[in-house]
Amino acid sequence: MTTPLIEVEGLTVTAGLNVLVDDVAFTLESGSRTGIIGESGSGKTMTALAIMGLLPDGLTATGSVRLRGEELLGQDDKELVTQRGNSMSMIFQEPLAALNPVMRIGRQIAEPLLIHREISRAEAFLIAINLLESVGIDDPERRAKAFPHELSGGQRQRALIAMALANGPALVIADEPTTALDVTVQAQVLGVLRDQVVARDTALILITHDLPVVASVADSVIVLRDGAIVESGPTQEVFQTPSDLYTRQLVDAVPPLSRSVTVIPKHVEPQIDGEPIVEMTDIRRTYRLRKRNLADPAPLIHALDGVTIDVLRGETLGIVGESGSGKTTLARIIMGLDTPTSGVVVVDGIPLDSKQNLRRVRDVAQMVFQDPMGSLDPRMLVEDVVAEPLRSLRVGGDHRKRVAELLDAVSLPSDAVHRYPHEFSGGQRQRIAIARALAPGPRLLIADEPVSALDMSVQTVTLDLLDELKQEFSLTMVFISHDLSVIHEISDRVVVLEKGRVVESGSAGSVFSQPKEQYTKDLLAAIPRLDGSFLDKGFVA
Amino acid sequence: MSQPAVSDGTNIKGRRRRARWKRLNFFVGLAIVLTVAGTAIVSFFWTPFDPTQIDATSPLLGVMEDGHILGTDQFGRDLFSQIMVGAQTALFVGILAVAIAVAVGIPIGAFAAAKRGLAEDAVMRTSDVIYAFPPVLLAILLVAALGAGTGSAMIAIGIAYVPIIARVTRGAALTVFQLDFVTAARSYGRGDVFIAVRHVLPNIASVLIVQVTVLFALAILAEAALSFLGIGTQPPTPSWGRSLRDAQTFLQVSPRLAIWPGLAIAFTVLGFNLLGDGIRDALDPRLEASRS
Repeated sequence: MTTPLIEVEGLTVTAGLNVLVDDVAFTLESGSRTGIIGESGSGKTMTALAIMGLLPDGLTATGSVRLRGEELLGQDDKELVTQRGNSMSMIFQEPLAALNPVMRIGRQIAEPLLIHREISRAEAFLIAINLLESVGIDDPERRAKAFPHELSGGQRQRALIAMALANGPALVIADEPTTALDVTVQAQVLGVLRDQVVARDTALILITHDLPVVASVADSVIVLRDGAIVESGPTQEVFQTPSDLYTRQLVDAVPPLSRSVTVIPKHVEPQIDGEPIVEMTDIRRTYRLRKRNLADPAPLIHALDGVTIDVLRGETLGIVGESGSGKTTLARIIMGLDTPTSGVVVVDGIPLDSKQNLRRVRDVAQMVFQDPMGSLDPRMLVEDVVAEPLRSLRVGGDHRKRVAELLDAVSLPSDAVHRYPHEFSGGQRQRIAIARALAPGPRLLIADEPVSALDMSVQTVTLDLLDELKQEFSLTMVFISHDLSVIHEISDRVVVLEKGRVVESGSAGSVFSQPKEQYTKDLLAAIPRLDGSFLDKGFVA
Repeated sequence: MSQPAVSDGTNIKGRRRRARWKRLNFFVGLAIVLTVAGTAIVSFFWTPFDPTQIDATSPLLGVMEDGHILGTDQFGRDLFSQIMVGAQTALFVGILAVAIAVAVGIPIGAFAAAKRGLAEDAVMRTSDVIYAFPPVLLAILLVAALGAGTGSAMIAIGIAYVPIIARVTRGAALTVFQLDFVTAARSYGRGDVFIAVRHVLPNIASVLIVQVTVLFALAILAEAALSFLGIGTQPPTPSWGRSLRDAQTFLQVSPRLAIWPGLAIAFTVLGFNLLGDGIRDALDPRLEASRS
């Protein structure tokens, strides 16, 4: 029997007394594609770093990691360096952070070649150009001379893939390689990644929290929870008949739209009586960039380019778009945090055209933000965080009692008031943020990517909570997200934005089951599905 | 077949040792600062001799002669007592100069960070102009206007440090002003002033504390320099800088007259700098991970 490519046995990673990875064992054959899935804190990244010998200071790995029978753990850095970038390489989540901003792309891709092979710089540069071409970058010669900031997010991630593949490694570890990308770009990058590892017979470990992403790339899957393997096996087998309760929860948390392309989920058409609470007419918002030189006029960016949207009382309006579509600008304009360059906004009968009126809007509309770490003041007790809007907007009554009621409404324990935000998990923090938004009794809730920073199972719970609260507090909700599956779950009506323009709008049922515009169709086609159907449908660009 | 192997981060022991050293910084710095502060307080009630008492019978005594611990100067004044009282002057100047810098600099920096655009440019460029002015020149101008004395020195040093505090505040506050909790506060109707005081300041306090500690040391040094030039503390008030100036004439005869006040200055400045470093390390989240 031949030696497997990678054998991991009894791998345990500890930080002091904390066990981050607990007795993990698996083997990988060469050319296999394995997904490691788990929620935040499950130890998936630590497992990868331990294999690469890149654990941060203060963490200790014990057990055994063998590459073609040769023990890697315990080797010192000098020996490992010959493996890293040569027989193993890694792709990171945030391509902008993983690339050196002051080094040209081609030079960076050439770097692993120069380290591990005896070739000239010119030769390495030529190979780099070939690699860039193979990961689907147009005009590779020109891109090779570009700096990272001159490329788009998708191009940067492709460049990182090229860099990881440079020396024809036997194993590539990709840690959440597409989490920071838009859905259409994600589809392309995943396609490139899969095609390249297949073509080169390179083994792939794909680490992600996103089950459909794993399904579209990996042929086997390992499910981690609290550092230990709860289940592993062929991807479709695990996802279709999960034997472990935790895996089942993860699978159940996948929204219907992300399950399969063939199943178009049903959608109940809501009964909304037509009176609008927000009326936006021909909204434009332009930003003037810094002048490049004195002669040219300063370049303009059209964040919103003639947008007309009504939000009807009692509905949940989903606004979906990729980065740069202007969806957050839209939210800020409804909240009066930003003023449109032209156009009219009326919220609950108040035209947003004067300072006093902007203040009055605060009584009507409140907002929930994406990142629950950043949206709560770390130096304030939860009680003060939630009571802040009450004080600011001079809401009468017993604030303490009101805060207790709100925390109860979002299912947080009453002793939460005397703690600081950092003592809570991401999902709990988002509940605190929701409680704060509900505090002054708004009629309109603007939620800007409220679940994007949360684990998938927490997403589901948070969406359900928002839906319940919407009924309980008779709210109208504007729900903004890049994630079509989430929008599909919660929205009554949907608006699709692209580059500051409304591409398509209509009831959720009609937009998702019979999209009229090509852009909407592309977005829907790019969603990774749990049954792995999307990459085989030929979306790969 | 293979033994379970142990991979030990990268040199974790070295990291721990460094962390311990850094904590040592803090405690040594704190000890020095407390010693200086204690000396200043004691000197209000008790000094071995009257520090300004001239005694023509015992000039230029050596160490431990006639009960004078560090000896006497050319007028027979007790050196040790002078240095003790000098600590009062040094700390007094440090506290007030830094207080001036903080009281003016923080609002300016916070204003610039909150407003951005033209207002920010106006404020920050003005502060750059002040920054470009040598503090000694500023002090001479103030002395010309207000007369020489500890007060003028303090005000001059304070004004000279306003731009430093303003810059640090602006830089740190800019980041915090971008955070969602500030946007959240705006969305429930809080104004800039409230946001700056209640949301931004507490979150940049750690950066400012470090800066203030370091500026404190610089202020003490600046006061000594100004007094040495004769435009700071005036006689008979003891000041380390002035003691150095007085000692200059007798440098050939009795170098220890310069050594003791010089050491006092060095010791105190070192103490504040170590304390500043120590606080910086204690508040640096990147070190937190290796400590737990």
